[in-house]
Amino acid sequence: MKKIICLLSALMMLFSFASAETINEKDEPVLNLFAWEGYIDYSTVIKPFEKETGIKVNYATFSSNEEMYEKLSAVDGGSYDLVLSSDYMLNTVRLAGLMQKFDPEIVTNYGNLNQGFTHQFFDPDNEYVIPYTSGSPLIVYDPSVVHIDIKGYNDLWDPSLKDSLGLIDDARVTLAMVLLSMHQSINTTDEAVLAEVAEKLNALRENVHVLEYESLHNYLVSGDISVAYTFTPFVALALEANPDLKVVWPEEGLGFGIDGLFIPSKAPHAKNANIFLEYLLRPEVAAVCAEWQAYCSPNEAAKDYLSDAYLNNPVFNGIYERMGDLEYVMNLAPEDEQKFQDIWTTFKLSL
Amino acid sequence: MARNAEKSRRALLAAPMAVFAVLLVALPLIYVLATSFVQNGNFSLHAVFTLDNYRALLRADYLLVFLESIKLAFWTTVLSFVIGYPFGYLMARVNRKWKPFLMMLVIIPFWTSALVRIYGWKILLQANGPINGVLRALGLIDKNIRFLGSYGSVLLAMVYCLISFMILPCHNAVDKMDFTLVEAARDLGAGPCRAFLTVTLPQTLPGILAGCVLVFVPSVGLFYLSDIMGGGLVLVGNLIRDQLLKVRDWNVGSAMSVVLIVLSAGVYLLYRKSGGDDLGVM
Amino acid sequence: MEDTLLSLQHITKNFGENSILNDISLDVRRGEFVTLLGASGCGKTTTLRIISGLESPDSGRVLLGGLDVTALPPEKRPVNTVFQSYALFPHMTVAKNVAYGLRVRRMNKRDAAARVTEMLDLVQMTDYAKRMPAQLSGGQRQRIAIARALAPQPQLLLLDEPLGALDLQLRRQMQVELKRLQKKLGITFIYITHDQEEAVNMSDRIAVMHNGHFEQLGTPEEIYDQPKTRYVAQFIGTSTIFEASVARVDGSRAILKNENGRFSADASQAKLTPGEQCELCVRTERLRLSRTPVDGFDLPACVTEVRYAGGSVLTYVKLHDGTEAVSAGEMRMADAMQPGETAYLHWEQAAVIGGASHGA
Repeated sequence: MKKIICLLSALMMLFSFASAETINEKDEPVLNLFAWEGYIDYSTVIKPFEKETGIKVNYATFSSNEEMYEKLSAVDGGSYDLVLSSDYMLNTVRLAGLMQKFDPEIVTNYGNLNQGFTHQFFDPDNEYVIPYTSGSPLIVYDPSVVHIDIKGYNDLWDPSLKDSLGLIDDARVTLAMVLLSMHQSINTTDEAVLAEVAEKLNALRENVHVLEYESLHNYLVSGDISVAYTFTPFVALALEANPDLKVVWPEEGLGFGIDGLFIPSKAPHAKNANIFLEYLLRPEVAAVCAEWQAYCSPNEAAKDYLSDAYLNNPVFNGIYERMGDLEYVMNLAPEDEQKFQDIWTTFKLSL
Repeated sequence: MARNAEKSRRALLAAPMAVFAVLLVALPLIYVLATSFVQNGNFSLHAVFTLDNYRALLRADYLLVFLESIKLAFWTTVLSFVIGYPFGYLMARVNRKWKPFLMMLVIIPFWTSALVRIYGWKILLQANGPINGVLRALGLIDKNIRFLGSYGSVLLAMVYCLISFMILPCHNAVDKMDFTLVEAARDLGAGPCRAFLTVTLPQTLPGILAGCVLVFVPSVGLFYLSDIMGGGLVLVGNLIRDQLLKVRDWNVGSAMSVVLIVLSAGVYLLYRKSGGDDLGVM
Repeated sequence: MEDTLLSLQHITKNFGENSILNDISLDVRRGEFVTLLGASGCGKTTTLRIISGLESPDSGRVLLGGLDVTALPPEKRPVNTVFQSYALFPHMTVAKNVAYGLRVRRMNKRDAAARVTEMLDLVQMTDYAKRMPAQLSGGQRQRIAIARALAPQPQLLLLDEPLGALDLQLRRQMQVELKRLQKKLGITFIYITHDQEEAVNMSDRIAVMHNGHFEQLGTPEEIYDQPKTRYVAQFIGTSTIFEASVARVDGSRAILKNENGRFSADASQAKLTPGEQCELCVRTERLRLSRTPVDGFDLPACVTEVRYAGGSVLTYVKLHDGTEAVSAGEMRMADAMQPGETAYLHWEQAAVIGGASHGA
């Protein structure tokens, strides 16, 4: 018995030594990447990078922006070299001082980006974030069963669409849709406006059949619903399964989002991170990423490398001419977030 | 002397489980409890005790959500019983040679991820899926039934995931029962139905109660099944998740969690009071 | 016969490849106390279950009061069983247990309660009405099982080794009580036991069962003094079996002889022909020892052991060819013969069994 305890203690001490930080880290050919699972493809993007530079990429994952933020705060901006996150969270991270500027001496091709994606609220001076993908939830429907011509959000309230709608199961995203249909700000905290939103949302009750987050396109393709309001890649998947479906860029405006990469303030291998950023901004690499991710590409130069199928796909090429109109879903104070949640809860309860 | 050695040997054997239970179960629960009584984020030693988080739960719509969860758990339990008890009964009473096969039918699903199995159902139930296909081929319907998004499909998923927890205790109870009692009842003039209701059912009641507890308690908290089947229900689990991730109010979220834990504990205590002790696993 | 209550006709039952009951037939008269006696595995419980309806025969018929009930389920037969394990319902009180058979037949609560009290009085368990079975002793549970089975006034009561779990004193006491009860109520009893003393004490008739068929059916006296087969002879009581050949038949007496000598037996029940082989069964109590040869018998033996057995003396003797015999006699040890002495065996009553011409 004593022997076992001794052995166990010895093992535990060994482990603690092994995890101690080693010196001269920043010269190691290592890159610690932190993103959602499956957001940067291994075989077409990471592997060629590793081959070209000899830098080994470690891909750590998180399942939500909030989780990423908790973890990054816990290590005070260290441990990770390059992190992918969404617009509202990028802003939060930047304001918390957990970001460092990228090195323009290494990242020389920042100019490849489409100007419409730069100078965003989360990085007004283009110093911290490299946009990676972007998108907007769109309406997609099956014209063989839907007999009206849907042009925007307000058409979703049409009585002929009874029990046929699929919406995103998220308070902020769907309420943003309703606010846009009312030509209101999607980040409003005005009580009177919110009351109106609740009422308008309630009027949509009859038309909603499912609420879901990540497979609304399946419901559309299988015939369970005839109209869906869902994210860019899912719209693309639906079109792929059924080319007869129609995509709508709602005339009232778009809910928009950008996912971007940043270097944490205390990243151990900042140089390698910059090298990777330069790599990703190359037009041919950006093209591969965009096709694979099925999101809109913020990289202008990539257009020369994108396939015709991608360029002609209404899902991907409608964004560029609508850049001016965009509002992001922002983080609000908890009491205001609560208001949105409450409207959403009441709505779901009434279904 | 020997007894002390025996005691310490037993303590040592129980030690890993005890460490596990304390570190990974008790401590987090205590932390949640503590967080629910403070404001502004996570618990710290300077925090101020407050009941505001619980007061924030006293709302009509939250009560509705709570009732909705109870309702779903209730129907899941009832359906699990209606389907699961007969199957457990069959398993216990059938010829020896069939038993391993039936047991496999119950146990194998445990080896597959619940999520994968539910997605399987989702595909089966799609409007243009196989079930509709068969129904149409048989001429029973002419327009596809949209199962997904209905309350029934959520119930199906819940029952499908949890029914094993009803079948096994019920089976054990029927197996353990002395069947001469049923013969005595028949001998005294009770038909098969009457004998079942007056003898078998009361005798296997402990197993039934165990099954109910094992199904009801998880059901109250299970919300992802409802989400997957497109039910669009708001359940306690959804509320807690939204509080924690969307509103980012960990304190109210913790308070909700505590209420859920108290409810589960309450159900279990009721079970103990009614005489149950081993949750049908012995 | 008009007062035949139960008639089993050519019942056969197999379980898989095993033949449990092999063409058995039995008629039981109304008010009779019949015992099925045999070792475990001989098929007595299966017979009982076929009568009660819990088991159905592969072939044959069961008639109750002249009606063919072979296909009738147990709840429809006016037959009740007292199970070996009593099978009292653990979740019901004693009173509810006893009332079960009544309530199931839709007797109203008041009449049922009255009858329950009557039954509990009958088995002297009146004060136990509100107790739970778990609180009763073995003997008490047994009485409740009887009360419960009798409450619906069945035409036939089946008892499956009801006294098996009780200690000797209690068993003897219950034997007397059961017999008394049966006589008082006039209900037909079919009783199962493997204890031959019990069978002999209580029954009007005994059916000795062996390997799924009846070896012999008769009154206790018949079974005892006139066993028809070697099995019956050996199963009931203790006896010595002499194998012999018939030397001469003299009217109602036969002279038999074997290696050990010659002896005579009552041949009125059996048809014996000179020269044939047969067996003679002499009960221990009927085997007499004499210091001098007795007329008609020429069976000398050597005394090997003498033992006192509570009321009688057992004398063990060994015959010329090594056959061992036992004699039980009422005497004092001082008067018994001593080991080593020569004893001359004789008897007045013996049963002839076996033999080719012997009818069963």
